[in-house]
Amino acid sequence: MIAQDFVVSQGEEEVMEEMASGLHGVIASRVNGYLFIYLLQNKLGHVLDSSTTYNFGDDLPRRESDVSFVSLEKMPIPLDSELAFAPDLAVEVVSKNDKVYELETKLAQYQKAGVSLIWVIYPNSQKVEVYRQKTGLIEQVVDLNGELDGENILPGFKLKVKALFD
Amino acid sequence: MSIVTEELVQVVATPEIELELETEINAGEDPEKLYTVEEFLALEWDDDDDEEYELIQGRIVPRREKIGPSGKHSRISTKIAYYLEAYAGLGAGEQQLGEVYTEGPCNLGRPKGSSYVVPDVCFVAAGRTPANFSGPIPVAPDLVVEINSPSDTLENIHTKIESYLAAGVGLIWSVYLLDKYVIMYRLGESRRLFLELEDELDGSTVIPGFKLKLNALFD
Repeated sequence: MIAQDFVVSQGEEEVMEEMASGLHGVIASRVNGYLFIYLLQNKLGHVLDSSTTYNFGDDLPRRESDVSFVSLEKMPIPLDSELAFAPDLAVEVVSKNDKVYELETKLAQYQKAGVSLIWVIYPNSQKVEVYRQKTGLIEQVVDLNGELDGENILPGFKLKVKALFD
Repeated sequence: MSIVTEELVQVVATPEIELELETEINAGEDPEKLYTVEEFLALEWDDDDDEEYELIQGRIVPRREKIGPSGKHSRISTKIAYYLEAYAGLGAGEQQLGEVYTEGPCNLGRPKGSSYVVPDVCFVAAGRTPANFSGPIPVAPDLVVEINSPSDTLENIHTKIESYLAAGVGLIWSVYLLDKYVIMYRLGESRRLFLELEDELDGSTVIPGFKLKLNALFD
């Protein structure tokens, strides 16, 4: 989902921009949960929720992901510091009305910032686009019968796409 | 540890989710129904409906508002069509490689559900269409150019691109005119190329040698 802030109009009337649906929240929480379980057993790093902001550098805007993973060696000490780098894994859960401009631009920035693995989850068509960073973004579509793989970022992590939508 | 795991998995697997399918048709059709191209073309549309529709993998999705796209959108479309026609179409004289269509309706057949789409610009290599065909372009084009509008949703655009590739379209230029970049897709290659202002569009194997600087396009 593309984060939208509360907007206060000049008439002092508070207008809420389009926010995520329950479905969006359920799916993001599931991904978060499965990653957390994996990381309890494989102490490789941290799974971070959608409130986390990454600072990719001067010429790129700050970014938030619905769910992200950062390896231990990248994570700053103390944890309470700015995240001036790209996460190793970024997960975006698409809302029905997310505009193509916003997400493509975000993907382009992830590519520039060096995010290794990206999962873009489509709740409506129940598929996941997997993007890997190898001289550009390599794209693969995984459907309901498929499985997400942590690859070299989260070795051994497997998640059936069905488990996200069931 | 494993007990914790099982409990958590059980909890997250329980909620019942009602999935909403994206269809905003006024004609009152069943939103779950998958249409064939024939059924889609036979539909009677509500005159008050201000959207145009395409059929993508059997689902009816809005293409754009009937009043048409922006002037800029139309200008970019025209430029691309012009450069293609000059290089590979009539401008190439006896070396003509194929035909350029603007807003040419295409029946993509059913490699993955039925799709009836109207790309902004497309190119079909010489000899692939039967002489004097009637109705929509009867083959999947070799090159498709989609100029995206700010109102297009990610899901619709990506599903459409998936359908083009599944139908055998060799090259796709997905143009983002507001942010001035293009994403180029090539059949059989899973790498998406983000092209920025200094980069150039490339005809790849579809129109060998064709190059067009994005600067020239977005000027």
